[in-house]
Formats: sequence, structure tokens, C-alpha cells
Amino acid sequence: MTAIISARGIGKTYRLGQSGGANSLREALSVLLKRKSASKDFNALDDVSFDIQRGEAVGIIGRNGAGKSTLLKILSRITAPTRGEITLRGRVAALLEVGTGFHSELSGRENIFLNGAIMGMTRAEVRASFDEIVAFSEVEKFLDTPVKRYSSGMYVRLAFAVAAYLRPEILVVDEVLAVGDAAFQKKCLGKMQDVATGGRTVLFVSHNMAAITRLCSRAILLREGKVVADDRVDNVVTQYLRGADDSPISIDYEATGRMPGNEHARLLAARVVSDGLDGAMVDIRKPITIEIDYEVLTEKLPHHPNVHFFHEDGTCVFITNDSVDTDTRRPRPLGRYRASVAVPGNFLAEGMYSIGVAVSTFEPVIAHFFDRGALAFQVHDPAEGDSVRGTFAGPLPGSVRPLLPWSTVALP
Amino acid sequence: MSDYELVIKPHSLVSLRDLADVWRYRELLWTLASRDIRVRYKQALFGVLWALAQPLAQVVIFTGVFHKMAGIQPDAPVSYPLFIFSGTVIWALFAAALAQASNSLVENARVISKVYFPRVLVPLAAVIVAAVDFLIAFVLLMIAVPLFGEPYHLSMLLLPIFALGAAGAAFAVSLWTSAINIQFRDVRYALPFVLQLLIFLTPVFYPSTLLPEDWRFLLALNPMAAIVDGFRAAMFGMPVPWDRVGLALGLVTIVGATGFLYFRRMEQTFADRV
Repeated sequence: MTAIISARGIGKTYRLGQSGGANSLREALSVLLKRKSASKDFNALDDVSFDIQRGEAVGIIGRNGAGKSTLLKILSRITAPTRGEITLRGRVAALLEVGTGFHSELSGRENIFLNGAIMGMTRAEVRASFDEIVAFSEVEKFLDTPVKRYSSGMYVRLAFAVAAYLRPEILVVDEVLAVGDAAFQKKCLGKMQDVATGGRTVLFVSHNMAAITRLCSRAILLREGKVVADDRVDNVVTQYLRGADDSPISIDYEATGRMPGNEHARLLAARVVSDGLDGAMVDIRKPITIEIDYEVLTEKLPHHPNVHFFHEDGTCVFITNDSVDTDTRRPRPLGRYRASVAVPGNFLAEGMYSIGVAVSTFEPVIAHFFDRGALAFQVHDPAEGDSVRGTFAGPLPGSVRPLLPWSTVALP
Repeated sequence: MSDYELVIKPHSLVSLRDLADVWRYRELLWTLASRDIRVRYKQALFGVLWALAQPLAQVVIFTGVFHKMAGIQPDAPVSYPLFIFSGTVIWALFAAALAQASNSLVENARVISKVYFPRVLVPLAAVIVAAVDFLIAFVLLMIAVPLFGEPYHLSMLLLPIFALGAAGAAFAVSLWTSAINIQFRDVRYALPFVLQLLIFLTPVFYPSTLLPEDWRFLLALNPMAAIVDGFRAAMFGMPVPWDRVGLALGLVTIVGATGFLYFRRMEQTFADRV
């Protein structure tokens, strides 16, 4: 059987220094006059090859900047590769950002047709799916209201519904599930699963390893524009989470020169520390410490470091900050600090977590920086009998899984 | 669907598949155009009146300035206001279509960077939007003809040729300007200025016979001169200068064809630049 997608030696080179060339005639002239090209080449993708069969659901994973989005843009023909070629043997529908084709002044009804047309559907095709789209999006009552009056939830639901009810042979989806509430995310994933089991091909980019594992049978891991793994999804996800040099458990902003922050404070680095770590997998029984390195740039305000724990479905499990510490109620002297918080073992449930790190002032409320997905790790339970799971192998629900003191006495 | 096959390669200036795509996406052309028309008239309180206000104001002002003060006479046996009205209607089609089409890619940047469709539809849809305003003004012009005591001529059946010529000229130039505008936003500022100069180099306010014989060849360099003259000739039942019109349409075709190649070449990088 011939592959529905075959990519051979795909490369994409961007010019850095100038955002895709000079942006005004004046810049172009000054570059010409100085005879100095300040630009540097950057390979977003380099020699990427793979074959995808009809009916496969493939996850594409990698850290930010690994080239995932560039690959999807090339597959969906938004931008052309610099080198190599891809043969597609089916129509592609890409959902790279929800609601891009929407116009805020037009009604929901008009936008369904507009977005359908932009995605390559005829009016007749849109009309055929119209009722399903409306039912999925749950906006019946507001169909004739301009979408600028929609809540963000309604907006996202309508946009996803239009894309989901296209009938493409290849569906390309980028991290769109990051928006919307947990119930809606579940609904979208379910819809994508239908597409995949219906014999069509799905390419899915996400940072949500649980969603990737559930939806896809195979995954491709990209690092610095190259394919470093292409295998069964569980193997690739494990490799990604274990990745030594490229691990999501430590991030050094100072080295990259992109330090989140403002004039009061900025983030230098963040990491997960635990003696139960194996790559980005942590033993459920071991305590974890989250460290934040930051720099205080003014002495005007007190700074409170805080850490946000998000579960894989996007819900916030808890937030923790050091406001009890009396030291933090007054400004600290200029300098560099490391704040750390310890999370006990036998506390977080199994699953993927993403960690947001922030430094804020509470009076007045200022978030000096907040990096929502700074770190990620997976809690796993080896089921050796001394955790809540015991030796039970089935699914256990719940966001936390504390080992609590139980006692049972015989009643007389 | 097993016969479907598409090869994505670094560069292909003209491919049959892409041309076929333009046809496959034809409904998108109308959808984009109707989107812009709806948005325009939805938000404007007086809607259609605006499409009428501009040509009417121009007729009044230019009649005062060029006819009463500068003493310019039309070469057709019609009154000056009607002469200038016919000129501004066809000129406005060209100018509005060119201005809107040139900015169209930049204005649709968000969609362009996230969804694939044949990009050439974007400036084309902008030209169609301008054509709607033209039709409204044209109806008013046809109503004005008997009011100025002029008859309807059989040659008026030729008018669509010149309207298509003006829209085509705008589209041809916009293939260049809209693509250049992605890289050099200077186009946005330069274009209104150029259009303002160009209206004086086009026989809109004056008949081309006003120019000295030796200078008239210059008008041949400006396709809009022949199109405006042709439009007026058909309007008022005078002999159409077919030689000049043919030359103009040939020039427009060359600009359009080279513009299309340039547009195709730049199209590959639109999403990276916007």
C-alpha cells in the first residue's frame, strides 16, 4: 500500500536578523548601502523524512522551537519547504489555530459558511453538515448574533465544529485543545478519535502527552528540526520525557537570552529536582522540589514566587506561594535568588503535569512574569505495593493521591 | 480518491494543479467578496449612500474648479458635469479596486498565515468589492443621462468592456503592489499619492484632445487614458479609439501576466513574512 503522506528530505531555512527580509524600503536600502547582511540562517527543519499510511493517527512531539509547527505549515501548504518534497495522496484540512477565518462583525451562521469556504468546502458541503456543526458547537440560539458578542467558549466551540465536520482524508491539528474548558477538550478529542477510527489520517501536535498517547498509535519526535524518533507512541513519549539534553524538567532562560519578566523582576531558570527522577518521569513515592531562579531588579516591591500545577487535561490542581514567609512581605535587596518549594511524595496522582512558574506582587497585584508551561513531568507508580495503588493495576481516578492513615477495627 | 496526488516542492511558478485550485476554490472568491461587502454595509449607517456621495461631490467640485474657473470644455457634445461624472465613475472603479486590492493581502494576514487557499483570490475579491460600488454609481450615471437631456446610445452596450478593462487594469497592477506590500509596507503610503498624480495624467477632468498633438503619445503609456476615453465614447455615442484601447488592453495583459509570475514567486513566502 502506498503511503498517504511521504516526506523526503524536507528542509526549511529562515533568515534570522530580519523578519523575513527588510520590512520597509528604507531598511532594504540601508542593507544595500551598508553591503552587510546582518542575517543568519536558521534551519527550522532539516532533512525530515517519513511515511504515513492511510488511517494512521500520528502524534508530533518536541519542545517549543523543535520544528513541529513549521512541519504542519508545510503539510498544509501555508508555506513552502526550502528543500525536499512531500507527496500527499489525500486532501488535507488543517486546524492550526481555531477561528482564524472568522470575521467578528459577521453572525455565527455567516461565519460557518465563510470558514467552510476558506477551508475549501463548497456551500453545498457546508449546508450538508450545517446542522451537525451547530449541534456540536451548542450555539443554536446565537446563530444570528455577530461573533464579536460571543463568549470565548462559544467562539472556540463554533470554530472547532466547522473544522471537525470537514471531510478531509488527512486532518492536521495543532495544539488547539489548549483553549476551551476540560469538557470541551474531551469532546474535541473524542471527535478526533472518530476521524481516526473512521479510516482517515490524523496528524496531531500537542504538548499534552496523555492526549497524544490516547489518540495516536505512533509518534514522531522532533528536536532542533530533525527527526530523532519515529516509533510506537509509548516508546517515543517515554524517550521524549527521558530526553537528557532536551528534557522538559529544566529550563535555562538566561542561556537562551529570552528571560520572561519586567523592570522589577525576571526569570533566570526553573527546574524540577527529585531523587526519584528518571528523565522527566518521577516516582509517585518521592518528594519533588521545584526551583525558580530569578533576579530582583528594583527594591520598590515585595516579590512572591509562586508555582502552578496543571494536570494534563488543563485543570489547575493547585497553586502554591510563599506569602506566609515574613521575609517576602518586604522588598528584597537587588540580586539573584533561588526560591524552592517541596511537594511531598505520595501526593500527586499519576499522569502528566505541566508547571507554571511566576513571581508576583500581591499589593498591588502585578504578575512580573508567568511562564505557564515552563516545566513538565510525569508521575508514575511502579506499583511495588507501598503506594495508594498497592498492587492494583487498573485505572485510579483523582487529581491527588495522598497516602492517608487508615485504620479498621472490628465492631463488637 | 485514490487518484489524488499532490507533490509539495520548494518552487513551482506555474503549475496546473495550482491553477485548478483557483477554480476549485471559486466559491471562496464570492464568499470573501460578500464578506467584505456585508461588513462594509452593516457598519455604515447610510450604507449605499456613501457609494453615491463621493462621485457626486467630485462632480460638483471639479465642475466648479475645472469648468467654471479653468474653462475646460468637454470634447463630447454633452454638458461638463455629465462629462466629468462619466469620467469619475470609471476612474473610481480603477482607483478603489487598486487601493483595496493592494492592501488586501496585508489585511488578511492572519488567515494567510494559518490556512491554505489560492492567495490570488484575495486581491481578486477586493476588486469585486470595488465593482459593487461602481455598479451603484453607474446606475446613478445612467439615471443622470436623460436628466441632462442626453439620449441613450446603442454603443452603451460596449460599456462593460471598459468597466472590465478598468477592473482588469487594477487587478493586473495589484498583483504587483499587493505582493510588494507584504514585504515593503511603503506601498500603503505611496499608492494614494501615485493615484492622485495619475488622475491628472488621465483624461478624467479634461478631454485628451486638450493635450498638444506632440504630447498625446504619452497617454498611450497610461492604459487608463484609453479606457476612460473609450468608456466616454461609448457613453456618448462617439467613435471609440479602438487602436488605443487595444494597445491599453495589451499593456494590461503584459502587466498582469508578469505580475502573476511575481505574485506566484512571492506567494511561497507570504506566510513567513506577514
